[in-house]
Amino acid sequence: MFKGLAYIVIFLSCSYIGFYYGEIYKKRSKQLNNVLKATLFLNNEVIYANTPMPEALKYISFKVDSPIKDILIKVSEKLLLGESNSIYESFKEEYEKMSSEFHLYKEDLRIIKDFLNSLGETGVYGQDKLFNLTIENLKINCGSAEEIAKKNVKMYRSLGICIGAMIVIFLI
Amino acid sequence: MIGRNKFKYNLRKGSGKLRYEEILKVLPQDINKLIKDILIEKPVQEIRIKINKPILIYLSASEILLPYLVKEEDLKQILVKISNYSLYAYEEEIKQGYITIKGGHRIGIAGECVLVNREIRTIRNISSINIRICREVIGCSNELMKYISDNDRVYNTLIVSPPKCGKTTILRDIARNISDGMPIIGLSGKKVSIIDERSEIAACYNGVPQLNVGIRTDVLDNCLKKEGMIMAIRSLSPDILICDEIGTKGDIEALNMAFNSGVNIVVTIHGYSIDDIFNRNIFKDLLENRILERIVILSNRNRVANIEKIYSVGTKGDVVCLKG
Repeated sequence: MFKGLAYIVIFLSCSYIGFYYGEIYKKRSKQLNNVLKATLFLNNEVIYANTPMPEALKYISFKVDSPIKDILIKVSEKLLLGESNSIYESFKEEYEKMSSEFHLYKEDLRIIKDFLNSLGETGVYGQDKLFNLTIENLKINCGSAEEIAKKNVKMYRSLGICIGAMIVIFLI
Repeated sequence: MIGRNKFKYNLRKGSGKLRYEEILKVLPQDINKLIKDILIEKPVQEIRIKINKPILIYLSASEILLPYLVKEEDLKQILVKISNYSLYAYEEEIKQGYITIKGGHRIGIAGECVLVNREIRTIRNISSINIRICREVIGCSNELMKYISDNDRVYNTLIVSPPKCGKTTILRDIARNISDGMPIIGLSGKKVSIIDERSEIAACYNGVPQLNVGIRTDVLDNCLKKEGMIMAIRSLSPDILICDEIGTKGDIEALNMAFNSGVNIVVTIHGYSIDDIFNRNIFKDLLENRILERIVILSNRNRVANIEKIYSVGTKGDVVCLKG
């Protein structure tokens, strides 16, 4: 009886680990899509409505999911109070506090970093160019993230289940 | 009760209602520490900040040199904050060379002008800024009001003043008094339209006046004077039109139009005496058509916004000195 319970626990744990690793890839893809969505909304606010950045960030935060939503709200509040020296700095501070919730790769963060470094610091023409470049780069990363997710989610899930089953068979 | 002045003010010291927190908010911490006490205690008019130069603070009659060499990073930080982290939203203002921040303080900027088709597209590599402190002196026009209004009517008034003598300050207070009304001199509240070409009178931030210009006042902010006056006459049905620093032919044409539409005007110009007005061809129309009824001469003798002389211009063009 006890043995049977242990086999089930081992099998479920291995499967969970497999699912967990698969989810990380899925989350990266989902978060990147959210970043792209936020960038597109922000592009509209900046280029067409000329909305100042603190208000624009607050406005678009309602249109995306957490944790992107949470970081946007926090940065917006910081900028409204004038507490930060730059947009990049406030995003960096907030990201460091919430980094465990993000599953982005270094190359994703590099695109976002380059974007935030110049966000709000030029005229409409410069901002338009910046948005176009960032959106293109994000689209490329979104595509590859989706592909990787598709491949790895299946692989890790199957691997988890297989390893779980294998251990149980060996023990039996 | 609206219109009754309950505020004490002291023009001699050059003091007034100052929202210095908004200035401190945009300055880097190092500069903040040096400036804070001076801002609170002294009648600061301007703060000049230039890269690699010490900070200069202009008071009403003297200046203070702060022993702090401004770094490029300091100026970048100030720019980021005065533009609310959004330079793109202030392109038009930057083209004109200034940004108005909360509290009505105007920040002039200087740097490398980028020209496209002989027009300024933007200013880049900004190397110096000049923070002009906005002080609201509520009640400074109370003494003048009885001369420029009578029987619930405001006379067409021209305020003549040399630079830095407080003509915008007094014009703003006139707008407030006319708009809120002054029961003490029998003046009821009237609809006022202010054409504020450089955000100096109402000091609008995001379109909202930061200074008290009265409850019946509409402000056309950042609007060219001639176009603004015509727009206001057509759409806002004002009783009084208020405008700062008129001087072009277009301005005079619009003032004529206002007069013909039954709108009274209160305007200012740069000048030193009544002869300045009579000697300028551009004002001939206003004088010949008997549009102007009062001419007020300001100076900064003894105090800012000192009313030097008040003239009445009769229907036959005769000029009588009412005060001074």
